[in-house]
Amino acid sequence: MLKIAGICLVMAGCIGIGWFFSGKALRRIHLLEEWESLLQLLYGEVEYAGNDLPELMHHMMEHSRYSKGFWSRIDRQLRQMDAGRLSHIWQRELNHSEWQILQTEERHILRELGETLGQTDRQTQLHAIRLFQQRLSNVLEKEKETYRGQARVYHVAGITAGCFLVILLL
Amino acid sequence: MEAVYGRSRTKEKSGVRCREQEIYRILPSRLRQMFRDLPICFQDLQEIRLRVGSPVLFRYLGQEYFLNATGGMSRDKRSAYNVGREELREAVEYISNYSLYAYEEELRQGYLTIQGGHRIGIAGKIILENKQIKSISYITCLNIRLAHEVLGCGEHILPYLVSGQQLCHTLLISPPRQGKTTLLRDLIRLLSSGFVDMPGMTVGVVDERSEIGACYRGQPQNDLGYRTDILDACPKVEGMMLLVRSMAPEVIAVDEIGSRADVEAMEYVMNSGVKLLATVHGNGMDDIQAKPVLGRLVQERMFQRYVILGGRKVGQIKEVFDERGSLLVTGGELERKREVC
Repeated sequence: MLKIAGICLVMAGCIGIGWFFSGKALRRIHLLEEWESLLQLLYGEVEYAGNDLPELMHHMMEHSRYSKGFWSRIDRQLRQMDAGRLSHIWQRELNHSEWQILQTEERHILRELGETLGQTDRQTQLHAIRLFQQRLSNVLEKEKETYRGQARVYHVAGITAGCFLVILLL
Repeated sequence: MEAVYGRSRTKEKSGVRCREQEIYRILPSRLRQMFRDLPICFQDLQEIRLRVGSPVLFRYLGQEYFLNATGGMSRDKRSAYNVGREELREAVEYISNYSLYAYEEELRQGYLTIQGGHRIGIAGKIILENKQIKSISYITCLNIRLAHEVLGCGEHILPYLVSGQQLCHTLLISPPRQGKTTLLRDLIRLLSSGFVDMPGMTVGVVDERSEIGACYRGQPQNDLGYRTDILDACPKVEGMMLLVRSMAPEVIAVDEIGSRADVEAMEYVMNSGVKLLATVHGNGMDDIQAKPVLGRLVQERMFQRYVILGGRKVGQIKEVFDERGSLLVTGGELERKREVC
């Protein structure tokens, strides 16, 4: 009885680890998808409403799920008196632990976005947002392709490792 | 030049921002700290000028000073603090609330109005499109003009501008920088909110250059009374027609009339039964009568009251005339009445 329980636990643990890593990769994809849609929203807001950036940040926060904390913190800081420059605030928030999940290329894209926001006329701003959106889109496509294979590998590796450990311990 | 109104009365804004905070908010962090350490009263600060590579200049109590690199203020340019390019960019970021894309029209006009009604003049490299100004890039100069409202400066003149309970069509005539817009603003406030035994009226304001109301996001930062409708950054001609058609005003106020189109729009307003309160550049009645377009206004007795400003002090009223050119009151008499009160 004890052996069976142990086998179940070992298998569950190993499968769980496999699921964890595949979930992490999936979460990254969801985050990139959210960024893509938020950039589309940002484009529309700048083009039609022309609202100030603090208001846009608030709007982004309301429409986000995975990156809510990021927009909320930026919105709060921008409304303070000694906020400092947007590029510094943006960079500081990108270094937050919740963004460790992103790869270097995505963080680079987002950093560049922060450096251009609010610095130019409307037309240039819209072109810049469109460009970053396109770059993120390309990254997202690649990641989705990679994920299909990766997820299978993680799941199979989890099951395999579980079986191996069970056999080893038996 | 000493202001005849004396020090402006401090207006109390419900809750929120004082004048210093409104200005500190838009200054680069280094300059913000330097201004915080200055022994000045912000109520008397009139203007701050920032130019890339040039000393920081500010106008305080009518005098010009340099901001010292080591702190404090002086008249010596050698010890002045020079503004860097990045500092100016930082200031522009704060002034535009991190959103330069949202202020294209204002950039085209060459100025932005911030919270509190303070006006920031902008200069730099102009971008043209079809020979029209499209925008300004490489902003290198900022002129921060602090809003200056003098509540009550119209109280002693208003009784001479009304007949019964009705305002007379009134024209304020003044050379530049003599306080005509300040007086106009207070007259609007008094007419709108009511004064003594005179009930409040619905006032429409066409604020073409955002100087009367100093609107920030469409909301006037100056007190124009609670029965006032304002069209901000709207051309005078179109604005007057729009107000008559849509807002049923009893009085329409405009600043700096002068063109033929302005006069035609004013005739439309007057023929619609709306009273007009306007200002014009000039040194006096003779000066106005000599101008072809405005001279016709005087000859046809379109206006019933003429208020002439000028003199050694800002805001000083010289004379008030009626439509026949008869003198109703002199500036001296008004001053004596003010002192008695």
